[in-house]
Amino acid sequence: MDNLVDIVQNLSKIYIPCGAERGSCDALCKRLQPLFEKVETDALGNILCLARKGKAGEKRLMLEAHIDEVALVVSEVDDEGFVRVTSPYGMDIRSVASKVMTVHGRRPVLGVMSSVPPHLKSAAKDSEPLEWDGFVLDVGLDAQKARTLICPGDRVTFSGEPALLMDGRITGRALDNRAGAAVVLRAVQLLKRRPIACELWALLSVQEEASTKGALTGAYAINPDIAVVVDVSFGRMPGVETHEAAALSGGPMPGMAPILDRELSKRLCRAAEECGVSFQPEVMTGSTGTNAAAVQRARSGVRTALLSVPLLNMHTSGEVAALSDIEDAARVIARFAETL
Amino acid sequence: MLEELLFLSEAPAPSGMEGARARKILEFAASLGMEGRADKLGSVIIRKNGGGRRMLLAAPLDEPCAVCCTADDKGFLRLKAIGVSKPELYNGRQVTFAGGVTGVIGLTQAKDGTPADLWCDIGAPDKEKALALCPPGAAGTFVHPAPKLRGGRIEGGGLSALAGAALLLRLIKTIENQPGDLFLVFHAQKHMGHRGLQTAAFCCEADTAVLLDAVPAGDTPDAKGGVAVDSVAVKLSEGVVSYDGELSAHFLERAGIAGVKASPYLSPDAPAGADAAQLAGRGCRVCSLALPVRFFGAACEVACLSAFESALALLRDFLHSAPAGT
Amino acid sequence: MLTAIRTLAMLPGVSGHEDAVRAEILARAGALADRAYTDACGNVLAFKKGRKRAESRVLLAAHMDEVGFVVSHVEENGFLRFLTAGGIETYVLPGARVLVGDARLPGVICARPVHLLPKDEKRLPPKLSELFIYIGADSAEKVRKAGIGPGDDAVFDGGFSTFGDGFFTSKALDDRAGCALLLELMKADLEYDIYFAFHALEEEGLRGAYGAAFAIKPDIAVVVEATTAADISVVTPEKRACALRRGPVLSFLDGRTLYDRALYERAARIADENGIPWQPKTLVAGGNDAGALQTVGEGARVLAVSLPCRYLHTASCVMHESDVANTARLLRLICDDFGGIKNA
Repeated sequence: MDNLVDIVQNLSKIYIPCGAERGSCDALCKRLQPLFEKVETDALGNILCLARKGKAGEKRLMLEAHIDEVALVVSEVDDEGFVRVTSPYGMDIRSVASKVMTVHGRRPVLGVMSSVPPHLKSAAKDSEPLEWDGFVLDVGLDAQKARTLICPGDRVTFSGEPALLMDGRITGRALDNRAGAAVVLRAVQLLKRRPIACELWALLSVQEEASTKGALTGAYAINPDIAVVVDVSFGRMPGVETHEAAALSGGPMPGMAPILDRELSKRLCRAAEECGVSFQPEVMTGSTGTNAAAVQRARSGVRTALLSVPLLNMHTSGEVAALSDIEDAARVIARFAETL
Repeated sequence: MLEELLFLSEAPAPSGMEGARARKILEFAASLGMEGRADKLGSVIIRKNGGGRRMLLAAPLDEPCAVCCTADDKGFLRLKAIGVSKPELYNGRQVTFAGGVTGVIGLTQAKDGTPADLWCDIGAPDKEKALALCPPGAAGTFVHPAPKLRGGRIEGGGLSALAGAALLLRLIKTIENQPGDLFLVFHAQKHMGHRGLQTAAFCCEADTAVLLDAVPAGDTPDAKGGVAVDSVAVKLSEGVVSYDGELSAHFLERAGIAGVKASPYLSPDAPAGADAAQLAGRGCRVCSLALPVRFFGAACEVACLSAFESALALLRDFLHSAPAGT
Repeated sequence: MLTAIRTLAMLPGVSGHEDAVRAEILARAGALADRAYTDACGNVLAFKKGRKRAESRVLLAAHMDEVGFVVSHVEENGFLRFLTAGGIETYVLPGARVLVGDARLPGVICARPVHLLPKDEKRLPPKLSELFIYIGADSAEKVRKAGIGPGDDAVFDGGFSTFGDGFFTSKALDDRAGCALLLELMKADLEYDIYFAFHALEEEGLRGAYGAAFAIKPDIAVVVEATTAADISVVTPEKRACALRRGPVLSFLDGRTLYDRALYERAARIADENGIPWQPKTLVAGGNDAGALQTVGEGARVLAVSLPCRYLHTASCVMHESDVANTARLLRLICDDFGGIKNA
């Protein structure tokens, strides 16, 4: 069995760009087989995993985490061989200049996102918003060669592997939401050795960064009674109000929102207390901006809870989470499952 | 193509009131021995059984329209436009309501980018008479020159609204035996967020879907590049809506092998509900072929007959050669 | 040559904190030159005898410092405020990885999450005062225990990669690539005596160069720099300054210096006669150590022979291997020629 650091790092090394997940999902399925009784993908590429078949009368619990990452979309390779991109999925434009990126074309192609040097910019530019058509991706190839490898529609992601910082922090480009996926897999691991009285499913969904709707079909197929959605949320840093974010290593964030089941939210908090895990409730309204919006709506409705891991630098090349929060979130969910 | 366009445009189909056109299509299908029905939203669902894989082929049934909301004291109707992405194309357009009432559309200039309001001159002297002619809720369809074929080009109105349906109709006429269960759907209320596609897709429970449509051509002097009018557009993504990469690549590859012109299409904007088929029930692998149309949305549009024939060829090929697992 | 550039580029050497790269260059120069030593500015100066005594005292100069960051304040919650040493645009910073202090602790530059920004700020380059380095410590006390404090430097951490057809990217190619070219020249059997200077503090006002020039008193100084190439498709042709794959850049004018016209034309002729592609710098922008070398003491005749470089002052400078090779060839020929120029 992998330990937590390995789970997070291995998940983070795979490229799963939003809207073009199928290839990576198929590969990921094989690696998930040892942990589950059954692993399948659906039409969209969501991965549906059965961890424990339930007995008659038992509730069906589904743990959900999205595994797609923010990405850019190639709109064309121009006549000088530079790659033009659009950004439908929320990548932070303030984080792309001069970053090394991978184009997922016919094969992965390394490139550098452009920047304009200080000498050629005027002072006025500092207050002008950045525009996507002001950037090009430099792949170091002439147009003809580039076009044999790269086509419009190909996805572009940040490049790079995760790294550990001090005190059990980890940084990488896709901790949103490999951190959440790690929580789900870790919880399943923990529950293997514990008696629970429910059927247990894990849904690793796609296209969350597109529209938080990808999980809809997975939830429809699994048809759970209860769902816990795991995602990341804002970590505290100077300039972010204390009420808008949670401290890294301060524990997971049980969600409270009108669309989330109030009793389940309370149960998550109680499960945390019983584990001796500190937690930081997060209150939201509206769709919550997570797959809870999709899952809650499946079929005739699903009682849904949300648990988030604090994250710094969301949607940039250097997101940061605390491994202790990921482990604690998994422990809370395992305890929660036991009490069902 | 011309035959199908003319056939479809004989009956108007403003969003939400597509009944007349739906009936024509169902009668036609029946005449070919194919069973069909209209669902609760008015979408036409024709089924051709073959056993095995379930495939959905879908095209929009409705056309852009303007719905009367009220009239002002001078007898001008106030309309809500449906399916009109560029209101400025509708200034001075003629519109027809039920009972032979016709009028001409005007625009009130919008300040700072808010959508323009449409109003309509039907020749009524006051509010009461106007609403008697055209009660609130009455839907008007836009008048345009009938499509004509000129040397391989189709020139006329309504191409963007009808191209997809024309393609599907032609496929129905010429369909041979093929493997799989086919659902041939003309979905209602496309212009209201693809609502009819959502319900029809839920019913059909298909494994794969091909959506047939029209897109703006990108080969005119004012366009910034895009699909040429004589090429079939294979949609890759529209805004946040992505189409199945494997299926799209399959179409482009097969087009290359057959020497048929096809190009990838990407658009920054997602039409509302475009992912309806993908997300219905257990979900479905969805791809989309579209006919490029010049002057998209204008009174007179231009499309290319060869693109139509190419799209048809690609579709027929797909029914027999779709990749395994779809 | 790429291996040599890579080794030098990967060493930390923020202006004022050049220790690691200085030690490496001193060691290498010491092994190759007749004399190598450091001075009060932190420069490494070296002298290599040639086969003949030089008619003019020729200095070849590059700078070994790179743009980077200096920790200015440790917040109570463990986040580090920082200043930039050298001109770095803030919009290359959010999400960037850095290595902090002598211990090279890994850190990340953090900005407020874009989701929480008001709509009209979501695409604005962040202000430096809103950016913080996070090393994983959640209190000032933990930062202190980790051995980090105000005044410590932080350097980009991005690795060295080759990509495309002959391109490579790394931090600090400005001007470790120049340093590598100088060290390469030291290996050769040169025609004339040549002085070499590896300056510190170029990015903070050419301060190493002033000191070096005063000590060496060159007649002719050739600056080997990385110069900004904006040859990307979103920049109009007139504003591109120079391009990769067109060979070394000879400057006649930049933001600070009018170069010696005769030397410029002489270098161009040498290049043409030997079939080495070269390009003029077509946009007046930037400045380099020549600005100092030209005006110190009795002054010197200056020339700049530069490597075109995209995305200067970021973690991912980009150069092309053909430019490195052509610049190396041209510099060798210049060294073997300029030493023979009679002093007027």
